[in-house]
Amino acid sequence: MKKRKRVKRWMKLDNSAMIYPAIRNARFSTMFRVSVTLTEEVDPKVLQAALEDTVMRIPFFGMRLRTGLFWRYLEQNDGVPQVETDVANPCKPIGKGENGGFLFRVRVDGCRIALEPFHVLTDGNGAMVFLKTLAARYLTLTGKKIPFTDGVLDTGARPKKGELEDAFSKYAAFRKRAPRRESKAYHFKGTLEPFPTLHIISATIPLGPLLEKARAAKATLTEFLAANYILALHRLQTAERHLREKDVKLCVPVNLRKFFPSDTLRNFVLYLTPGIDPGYGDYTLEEIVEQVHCQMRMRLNQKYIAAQICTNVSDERNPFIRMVPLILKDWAMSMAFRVVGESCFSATLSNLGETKIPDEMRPYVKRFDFLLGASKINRGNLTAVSYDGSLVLNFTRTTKETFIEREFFTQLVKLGIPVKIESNDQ
Amino acid sequence: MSYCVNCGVELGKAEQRCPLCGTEVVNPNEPYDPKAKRLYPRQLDSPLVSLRGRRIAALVMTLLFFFAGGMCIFLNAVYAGEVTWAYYPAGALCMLWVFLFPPLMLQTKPAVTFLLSALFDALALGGFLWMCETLTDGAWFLPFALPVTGMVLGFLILNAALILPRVVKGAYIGVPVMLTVALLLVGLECIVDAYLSGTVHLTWSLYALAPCLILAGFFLFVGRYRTVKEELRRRLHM
Repeated sequence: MKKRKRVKRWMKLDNSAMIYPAIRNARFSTMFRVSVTLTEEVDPKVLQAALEDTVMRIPFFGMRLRTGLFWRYLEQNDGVPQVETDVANPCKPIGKGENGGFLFRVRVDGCRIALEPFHVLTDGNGAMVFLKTLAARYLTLTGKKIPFTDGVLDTGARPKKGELEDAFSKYAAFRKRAPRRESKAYHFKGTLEPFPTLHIISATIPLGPLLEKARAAKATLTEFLAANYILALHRLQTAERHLREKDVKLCVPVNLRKFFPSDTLRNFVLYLTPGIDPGYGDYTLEEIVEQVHCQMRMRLNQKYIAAQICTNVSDERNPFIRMVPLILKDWAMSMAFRVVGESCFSATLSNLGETKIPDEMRPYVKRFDFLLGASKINRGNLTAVSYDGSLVLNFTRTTKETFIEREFFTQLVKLGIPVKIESNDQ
Repeated sequence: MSYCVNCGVELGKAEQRCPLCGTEVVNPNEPYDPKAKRLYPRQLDSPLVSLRGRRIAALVMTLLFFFAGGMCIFLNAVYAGEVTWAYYPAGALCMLWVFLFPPLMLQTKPAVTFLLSALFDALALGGFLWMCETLTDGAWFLPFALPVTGMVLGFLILNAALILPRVVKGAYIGVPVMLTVALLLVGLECIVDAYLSGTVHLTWSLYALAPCLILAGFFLFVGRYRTVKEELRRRLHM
């Protein structure tokens, strides 16, 4: 009897994922990394079994990227993702046909489990759910009892429809589009390191004193960190003595799940670009905190965010754009990203917020980390994630110089906040 | 625990120097321990990127060139009874193939890739010119085309060997480039004169030599004085 060929499952890319394959290249990885450090050494064989279970539960991680005539899509990958040993320079882009077609890597080093997904799959929050589920499954397989709460999914259950939805399409309110035009931002140059070097400076800071300072400045933690980062970039631009100084702006991703009731594990973030215009004069930290706070508050409301989603989704739904072959769309998207994307912010600051895990899991977890790959234009990024009263900040950069990191951390030390520094320097 | 005396931050046990400012950690109570657990392992991810896309491009190009060259020879042979003009397009396609194939397939360091590609390119160009000379019964390959090709190849190899491995960098790059351009122009006039009249009498290349030497001196000056370099960078940055 003739064996019937099984039809492979496939899914459309979500709205924000469409741009990442078009803009990725050897110097812009669009990869990021979340990792968890356990209190005990990780057994790679058990982790492999846990990974296979987790991929079954969050099925779009087990897919490969395919190219259609008009759009890319995700297609079921029949292979098995493999656990790899960790490296000093993570977030290297996954080339076409590499990694068995999988769009993520799971790496292990001593007590640490790291997940490096391509942004086409998910955002920081989705990746954190995958990582927590993976770590919980690993602990379960080593004999611990971990309940399925606080973002830990039951690997024995079937995936829920809401977890796989394209939330952008669902929540786009087609009333008014938000404008896209933004002023050009300052980019620090520095000496570019050979590919794929990625310098990481990791800082551990007690959350209490930092939150106290942020509250005293009437700002949130993200706003306070953003203001510090902007100040460091502003000082560098001033030190470089440009004839005409450009705006110093940050790209700050906003988790839209806080504004819309979505359970999606795929991308559901938008970006705000708070910043300062150095043309108006020199700024103090307090002034920048106030600027950033006002700019963030003005745009962080459901109506404005829905309008911004609408701007992006309406392009995807435009029948004329849909008819254009992918090769032309790729070209247009990479051009658009250059003009209204990365040229409009100086660096990225991404704060994943506090990581919540079940109480039963806490004795086995020491810390969480979050990293972003850096690009050729935006050569440095800052990420933050807090757990158990500590904030872990990770600066990643592709340049030699450490001016910004030094300015940033010495500023915190001057404010009386203790900072512990580690790095991946060889 | 150790602190950086310069930045005031606490440093991890595996840090020999402050990652922010490079200041060495000196703590008699807790000296640097090279065996301390590092935040990241020393092993680096391979710099190699996938060759799959490039291999496909190289294969498509090879098939396309083979087909186009073969068609030229076939049509020429069918309509003229013998192969005459088809040698030129077929030879040119072969040369173009040599120009494009090594950069697509080589996966060595940029400097090595450039040097090997330049060598292959010069050989292909030389071969094509020699074929043209043979087909036209000329006598210009050995006295003119070969020395000029060799000289250009020497110019490229010398500059690439100095610039790509960063033996010279920054404004200093202009010095060997300008000096070799000057030599190239003088050499070119010598070859042209020797080919046309049999004697060498330098005229126009000396006019080109002067600005090249001035520019080489200018780049040397800019590279030597940091303040001048910064001033130029500040005023000319884009």
